Amino acid sequence: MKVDTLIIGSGVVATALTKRLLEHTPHMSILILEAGHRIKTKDFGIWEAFQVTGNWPFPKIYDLPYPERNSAGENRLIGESTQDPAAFTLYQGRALAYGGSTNVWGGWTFRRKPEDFYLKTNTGQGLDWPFDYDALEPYYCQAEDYLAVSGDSKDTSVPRSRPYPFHEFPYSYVDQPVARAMERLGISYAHLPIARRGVSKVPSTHAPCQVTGTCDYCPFGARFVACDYMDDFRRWNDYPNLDIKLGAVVMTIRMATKRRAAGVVYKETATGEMINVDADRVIVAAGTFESPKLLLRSTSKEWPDGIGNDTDNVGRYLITHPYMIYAGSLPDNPEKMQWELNFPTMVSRYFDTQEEQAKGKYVLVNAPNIVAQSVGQMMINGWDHAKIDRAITGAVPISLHSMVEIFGRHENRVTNYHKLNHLGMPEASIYFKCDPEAMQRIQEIGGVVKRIFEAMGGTYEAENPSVNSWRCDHAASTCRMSKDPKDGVVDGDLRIHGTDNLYVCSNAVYPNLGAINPTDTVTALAFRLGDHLNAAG
Amino acid sequence: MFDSKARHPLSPPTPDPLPHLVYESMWDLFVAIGDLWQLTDDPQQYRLRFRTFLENRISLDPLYASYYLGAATMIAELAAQADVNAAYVLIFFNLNPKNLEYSEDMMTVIRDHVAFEFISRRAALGSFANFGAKAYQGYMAAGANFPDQPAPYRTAEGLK
Amino acid sequence: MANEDKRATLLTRLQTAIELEWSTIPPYMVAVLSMKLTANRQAANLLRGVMMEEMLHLALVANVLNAVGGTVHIGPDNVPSYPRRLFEGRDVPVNLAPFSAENVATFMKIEEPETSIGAFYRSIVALLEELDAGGGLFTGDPARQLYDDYYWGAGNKIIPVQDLDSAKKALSIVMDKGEGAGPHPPFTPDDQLQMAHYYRFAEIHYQRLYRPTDDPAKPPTGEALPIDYSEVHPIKVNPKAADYAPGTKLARLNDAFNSRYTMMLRQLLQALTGTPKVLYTAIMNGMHGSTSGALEMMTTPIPGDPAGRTGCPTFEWLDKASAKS
Repeated sequence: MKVDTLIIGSGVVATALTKRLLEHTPHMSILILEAGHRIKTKDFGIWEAFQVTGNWPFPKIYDLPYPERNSAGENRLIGESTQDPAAFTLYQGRALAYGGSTNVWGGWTFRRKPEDFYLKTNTGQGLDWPFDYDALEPYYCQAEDYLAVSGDSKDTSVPRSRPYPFHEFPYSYVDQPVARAMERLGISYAHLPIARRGVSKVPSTHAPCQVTGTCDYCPFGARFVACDYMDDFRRWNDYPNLDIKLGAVVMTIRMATKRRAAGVVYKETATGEMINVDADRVIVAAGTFESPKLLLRSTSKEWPDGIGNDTDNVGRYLITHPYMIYAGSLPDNPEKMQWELNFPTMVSRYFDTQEEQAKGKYVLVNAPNIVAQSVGQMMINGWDHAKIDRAITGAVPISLHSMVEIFGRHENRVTNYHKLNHLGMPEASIYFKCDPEAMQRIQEIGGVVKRIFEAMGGTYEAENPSVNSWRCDHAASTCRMSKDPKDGVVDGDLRIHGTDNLYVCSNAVYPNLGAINPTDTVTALAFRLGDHLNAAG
Repeated sequence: MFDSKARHPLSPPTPDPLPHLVYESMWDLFVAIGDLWQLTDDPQQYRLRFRTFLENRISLDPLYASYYLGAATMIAELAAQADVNAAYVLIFFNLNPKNLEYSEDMMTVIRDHVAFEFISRRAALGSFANFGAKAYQGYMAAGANFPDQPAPYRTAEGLK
Repeated sequence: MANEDKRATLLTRLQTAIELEWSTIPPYMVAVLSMKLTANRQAANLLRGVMMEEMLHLALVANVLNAVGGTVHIGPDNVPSYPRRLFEGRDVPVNLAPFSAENVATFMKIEEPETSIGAFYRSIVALLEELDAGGGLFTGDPARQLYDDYYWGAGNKIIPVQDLDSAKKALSIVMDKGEGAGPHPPFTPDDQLQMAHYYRFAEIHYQRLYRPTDDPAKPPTGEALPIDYSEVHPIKVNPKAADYAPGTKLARLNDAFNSRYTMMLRQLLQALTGTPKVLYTAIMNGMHGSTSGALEMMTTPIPGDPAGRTGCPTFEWLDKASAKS
């Protein structure tokens, strides 16, 4: 079998890139290989089940936790972080399924700031990007159109040339005390841009968000999920040579010569059969962990340490965001503020600036989880009406969430592990140790949050701070971009150094993360790559 | 629009209707939530959606037909010992002033798969509003975010 | 006519209009679903858009009826059956039938500008104007109005109705786009969503798109619209439940469809008589949940059918034994 373009992975990158390629060349043959399977989106019965039980309906799209004494588990963490070694885990982070991690993402769509492209120049840490914000800005606009982002187009803290496709969600009631406190402290805040389709004159088969509050399984499909859009291609559009195979684990990339990829070998997990596919070009869009693992597995005489790995950068510099939840409480809640949404509407990027870059820039997000439990849960607890009223109007927990930029270290890495996971994919082996300076920074952020809580009239929990998770869905840098091949894996066009037709497009290519979620950026990169490939012919 | 509707491999295209008495018992249990918590929303508005909910639960997991039958049977047995209100108080609040006799194992099943799900569903259908909010996680009817209309949830006042 | 009689006539005509809009939807839906999508995708998109706009029209008419204090009726006694003459004086019956040249011609006829349907809607507008001359016509409960939250898939939007202006605006959307549009229905080849349904069907019929410079009274001269009437499921036309032998797969699928359709209609009625929010469930569980069963029927041969036809939902009201509540 031979195709023009072979894409490994079926997430937002594959979907956006496929759209850009096919709109230019409708008859291009594109094969997308996805290791996972399909989950059923927008099913009303499944939605009701999710709503009443709170149980995510498709646990098999997740990795298992690491092995423990009494459970086999998947993947390995070797070495240690300065926190609990189990904190950096793939479990319930990424989604291995048709549509990728957008099946489970929160949809926060921030742009990087201009200084985020110059980390090394500004701080001496890491590496600069081979291009700057202005080069990516038009693609951010396209990404936000595609992801159907509702945002505040009047917010000029990050420069933009076009409005968001949909207007922002107004600040919710629970933002009010936080905002007032921030104003008193001189901390700026803004609307959080979120991938929730809004109301527009242009009809769409995709419904606008109805703030149903079950975003993980949106019954309307208002939160962008890549598989819904890939399904659109296959159903309503005329792309006869687009093919997608699920349950297809790419085991190696075959090279015809050192520079030229010939295709891949993939395993059809239903049968165990190994299948060869030839391709004129190969795009590795398999995320931060699987992309480098695939390159590392693809050894040959020409590439003894894996494709693109002559300089020992593949799988290296693994970074992610530590995600902190700083907890506190308010003494009472007479206005009955409650969590009415399932996404936040307010963010502060006040500390996400060039001045803060050397110490670790960070964002603060007001996640709407005031009041410890939902009304339904309190009724299930057996609390009567009066007790529920007291619980709502009495002392209530509050929290601010934060993500901080940490810097890549060569020794933090992902490699292959010699076992197969439940989807038949080689498992991951992760070494990750966090800098002590980063832990210090997390403490400092807690100090700022303490002042905010106190300005709200609340208190700050003594046990703070806790790193709630090391968000493996934000992991990056394992195939980082570089101008000089000795410093990275791909060039500014995302082509693997030393090759002609092999590309990586995922968070893996970021030399650094900044303080914010990566998906807006990776979607922009996908469109930019598409334009590059279309121009190259 | 064209994706297949999820259902359990053992479920027929449409489940057989619940026996009338079982359905009515489940409906009464659902209504009782309002009485026990002094909720002011009229449950009659939920009746058709409640039926859809039962049908979908059974279609996704045929065992739910047995759960509902088991719950109706247990409620009838408890009611026969005292009255139906005592049964509801026991199921929802785990209070047993009338010393009703019952199987703990069955009670656990009924609570987990029937009573608590009915609470979750009712809260999300609209009963949550009894406690001050305008929208709720699971409430499908808050509405879209129109630029020229009030937001479908309570908003902050006077922020820039 | 005394005012009371006129008001009664108005309410009756608005109810008739609701039934008219309602009765166009199953034939359009069947035609769309009958297309295999190995071909005809552009036509399928056009037809699907028209179908969804008929749902919009139904909502708009219901808003008017509710605004003047009337009550929508949907029940087993007025569920449309097929073949159906949509309107008095319209000779052409509409069928539950596969996408075909004949079917498209029928759809054109339904949507033809300047017909008795157009006159009918204009008579409704005239009655509204006359009865509201002194004010006091629009006494309906505002809580019964549908807003645009429920409509996203096709052109235009749901308008809540509270007075004569908004009522006329709502009905003008129906008249402009839909049945009996006239005298100058929107001819907007650059914006298909704003174009009258008649012209969209004409494009399918003539297998060519309109140019903005075309004379709307003549066939289109623009880009070819590829149509392949052979790429459809060979469904039985105007089926009835009795056509499927008891216990067969098609009988079970048809029962499932009709159960879901019936629940959807009951929820629609509840939504249009004071609880608009139920419309979400009607759409998401009822409508979206029906299509896969319908498709399965269309790909299942009717046992022993001499022409090798496949099944098709019958869109009949079905009350299951315990479903009377």
